[in-house]
Amino acid sequence: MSRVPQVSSPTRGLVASSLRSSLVDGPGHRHVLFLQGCNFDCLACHNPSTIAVCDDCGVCVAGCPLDALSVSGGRVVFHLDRCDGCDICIRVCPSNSSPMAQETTVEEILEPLRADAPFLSGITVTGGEPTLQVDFLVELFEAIKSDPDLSRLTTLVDTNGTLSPEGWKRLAPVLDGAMVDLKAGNPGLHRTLTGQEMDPVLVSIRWLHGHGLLAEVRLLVVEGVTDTDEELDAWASFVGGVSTSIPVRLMRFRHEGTRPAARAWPETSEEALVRVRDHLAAAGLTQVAV
Amino acid sequence: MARMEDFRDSAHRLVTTPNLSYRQRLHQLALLAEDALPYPKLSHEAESALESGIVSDLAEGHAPYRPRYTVPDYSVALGGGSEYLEMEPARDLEDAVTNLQILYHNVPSITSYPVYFGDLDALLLPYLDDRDDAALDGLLTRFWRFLDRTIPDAFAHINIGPTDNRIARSVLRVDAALAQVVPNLTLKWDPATTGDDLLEMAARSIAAVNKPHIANHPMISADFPEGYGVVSCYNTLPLGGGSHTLVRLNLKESARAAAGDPGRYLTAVLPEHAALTFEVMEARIRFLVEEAGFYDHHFLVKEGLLDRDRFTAMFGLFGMAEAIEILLEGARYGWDEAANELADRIVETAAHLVGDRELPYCRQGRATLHAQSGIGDDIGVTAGVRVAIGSEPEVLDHVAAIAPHHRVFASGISDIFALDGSARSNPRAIVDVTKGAFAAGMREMTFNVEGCDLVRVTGYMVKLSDIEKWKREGSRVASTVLGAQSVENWGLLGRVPRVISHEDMGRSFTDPVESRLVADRDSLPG
Repeated sequence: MSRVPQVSSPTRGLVASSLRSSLVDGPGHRHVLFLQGCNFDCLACHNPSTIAVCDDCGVCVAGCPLDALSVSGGRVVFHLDRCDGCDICIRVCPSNSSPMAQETTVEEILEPLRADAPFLSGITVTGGEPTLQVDFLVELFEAIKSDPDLSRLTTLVDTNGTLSPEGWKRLAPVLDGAMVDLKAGNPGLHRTLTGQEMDPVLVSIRWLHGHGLLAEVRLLVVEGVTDTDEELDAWASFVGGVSTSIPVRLMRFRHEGTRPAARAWPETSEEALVRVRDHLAAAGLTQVAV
Repeated sequence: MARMEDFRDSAHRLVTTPNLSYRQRLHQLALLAEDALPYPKLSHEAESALESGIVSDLAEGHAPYRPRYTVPDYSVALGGGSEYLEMEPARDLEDAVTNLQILYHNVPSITSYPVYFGDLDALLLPYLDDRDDAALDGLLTRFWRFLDRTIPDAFAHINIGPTDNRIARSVLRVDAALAQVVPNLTLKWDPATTGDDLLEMAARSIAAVNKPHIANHPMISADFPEGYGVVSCYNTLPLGGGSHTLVRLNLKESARAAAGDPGRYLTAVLPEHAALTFEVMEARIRFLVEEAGFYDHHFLVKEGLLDRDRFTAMFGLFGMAEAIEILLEGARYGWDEAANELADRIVETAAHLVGDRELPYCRQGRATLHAQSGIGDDIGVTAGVRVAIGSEPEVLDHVAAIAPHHRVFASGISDIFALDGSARSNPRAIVDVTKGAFAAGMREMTFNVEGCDLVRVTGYMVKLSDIEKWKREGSRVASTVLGAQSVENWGLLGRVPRVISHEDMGRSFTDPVESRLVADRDSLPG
C-alpha cells in the first residue's frame, strides 16, 4: 500500500476534497483543503480514506454503481460528473483509500478561493498529511501570497509534524503557522497509536516554535489511552519544556468517520476534556483550550 | 346580537386566562375593543384580499390610533428637556438615563411598548464623565434591569455603533453578562469607523447570547441620510419618524392566481395584488392621520421627537420560497439559477410598484419595501424572501442567492444564519462571515449559534427555558408567548441548529393555554 502521493508536477497536488466553510480548522472562517496520503496510520484517524494513495488496482471500478470510475492506461480514472458521493469505492478498496482524489492545479484551487476570499480569514491545508506534498504546498502558498485578492489570507497547515526542518525551511517564507498533532506523551504509545516514531514530531515542534510558526499543538483525548496521568505528565513535560505558553488545543475523539477497530474506545466526554485541561494547566501549560 | 355575545365571551376569556398578566389582559381588552369598531372603508376587492390572506395587515387593528412603529429622536428631549413631561435637560449621565426611562414610558407603538430605545451610545456619550468601566457597567446593569422588568417585550431595540466607544463596549459587556430577552440589540457597522476589535467583541457576545444583530451602516445610511433606527424584527426606519403601518403581501397566496405562468404573474397578478395592498395601507394611514389625529396631538410630535413627514409605510413581502415553487414547477429557490432569477424579478417588480405608487403622509410620498420576517401562525409559508427551512444551501451559496435582494428592501430584510456551537470558541469566524456578507451587499446580518438559551425567533429574542416555564405558569414577557407559538408551529426545538433560525411549515397550533387570543391579535410587529 502506497502512502506517498505521486503527481506529475509540483504545481499539481493530489487533493482528496475541499471545504468552502470551516469554523474548526484554525482561527476564523477558513477554506480547507484535504490532501491525499499520510505516513501515519492512526487508529483514531477521523479521515481514514485519506491515508492510503490509490495504487490503481482497479477493484473499485466494478464496485461503483454509477460507472463513475474506469481504467485507462493502467490508471484508475474518476469521473466527478457521474459521482453522487456514496463512498462505496472507499469501502471496497483493499487499502481503504479513495480513488476520488484528484490531481489538481494551483490555479484550480485559487479560482474558487478568490470568490470566497472576502468571507475568509485564510486557508488551512490538512489531509492526509499535507507536508508529504511540500513542493505543491510551497507553490500553492506562494501563489496565494502573491495574488492581490488573496494575499491577506493566512496560510496554515494541520500536520502530524514529520516534515524535516529542511522541509519547514522551504515552506516557512509562505507559511503563517502550523497546527501540530502530538498524539502521545511517551514514544511507546506514540508508536502504538500511529505506527511511527515520535522524535521527528518533537523536532518539528521545536523548530516551528523557534521560528514563530507554531500556531498550536493538539492532543487527541482518548479516554483511558492518551489521558492517563503518566501520558499527560510526559506530554506536558515536553511541550512545557519548549515553552509553557504554546497554545494547546484538546481535541475530542468521536466515532464518526473512524474505522471499526477504533470504536472500542469511548467518545470523549466533556468531563474528560475538563480534567485533561486542568491536568495540563497544573503541569504549567498556560494556554490550554478545549 | 351574536356578535355582542362573541365579544363578551372573548372578553370573559381574556380576563380569566390564568397565564396572562394584568398588563397583558388590559392590552388584549383594548385590542378587542378596537376591533369592535368597523375597519376603514375598503373596496370589495381589498376586503376579499384581506379575507383570503393574499394581503395581511398583521392584525394591526381596525382603528389605528398610534403608528405601528415609532423611532423617536430622544436626543431632542435629553438636550432640551420636555415641556409636556415637565422634564429639565439632562446635566449628567444619571439624568440622561432617568430621562430616557421616563420617555420610554410615554412612547407608543403597536406593541403598546416602545420598539426603539435609541442609539444609546450616541445619546449618552455627551454626558459621559471620567468614571471607570466598572462604574459605567454598574449604571448600565441597573438600566438593563429596568428595561427588562418594565418593558417586557423583545421587539424593543437598543442600537449602538458605528463608532467604537466606551458606552458601546459597556453595552456589549453588560448585555452578554445579563443574557436578558430585553433589550434587543443592534450594532451598526461601518468599515471606516467600527474597527475589527469592536466587531469581534460583538461576535463574542453573539456566541454567548445571539445578540447583537448587525446592520450595514453605510448601506442603510444611503437610504436614510437623516438617520435611522433598527427596531422590532429587522426594521430599518427613519430617525425621528417610523412607520405608520406594515401591510404585507403573501406571495405564496398571490402566486396561486398565476400558477406555472411567471410572465403573467409579473405583468398582471403581482401589480393587481400590490394595488390592493396599497389600498389597505392608504386606508389605514388616512385613519391614523385624519381621524385618530395622532400627529396633531401627541407631545412627541409637538416637541420634535417625532415628525409626521419622517414616517414611512412598510410594504411587506413574504412567502417568496413557496411562490417560486408555484410559478416554476420543480424549481428550488436558493439552489437553481432560474428560481433565483425569478425571485430577483419579483423583487425588482415589487420595488418598482412601490416606487410608482404615491401614498399620503409618507416620507417622500412613498412606502418602503420590507421583507417581512413572519409571525408565529404563518404555517406552510416562509418568512420574507428567505430560502425555505431545511433547504438552505451552504452559507456562502446562501449569501450569494439572497444578497442581491437586500439592496431594494429599504425598511429591512432578515436572513438568519445558524452556526454550530464551534463558533463559540472561534468568534473570529463570525466577523469573517459578517464582513464577507456586507461586501456582497447584505443589508443586515444575524446569527443563531447553537447551544444558546437565548435564541432569535423572527427578529426578537426568546429564552428557550422561558417557554417551558410559560406553559406552566405564564410569562411576564409578552413576546415569550409569541416565541412559544413559533417554537410549536415551526418546530424550533429539537431540530438541527441551522433550522432554529428559519421559519417553516409545521404542525397546526395546539396551545395549552389558549394563547391564540394573545398571539392572533397581539401579533408580531413584524
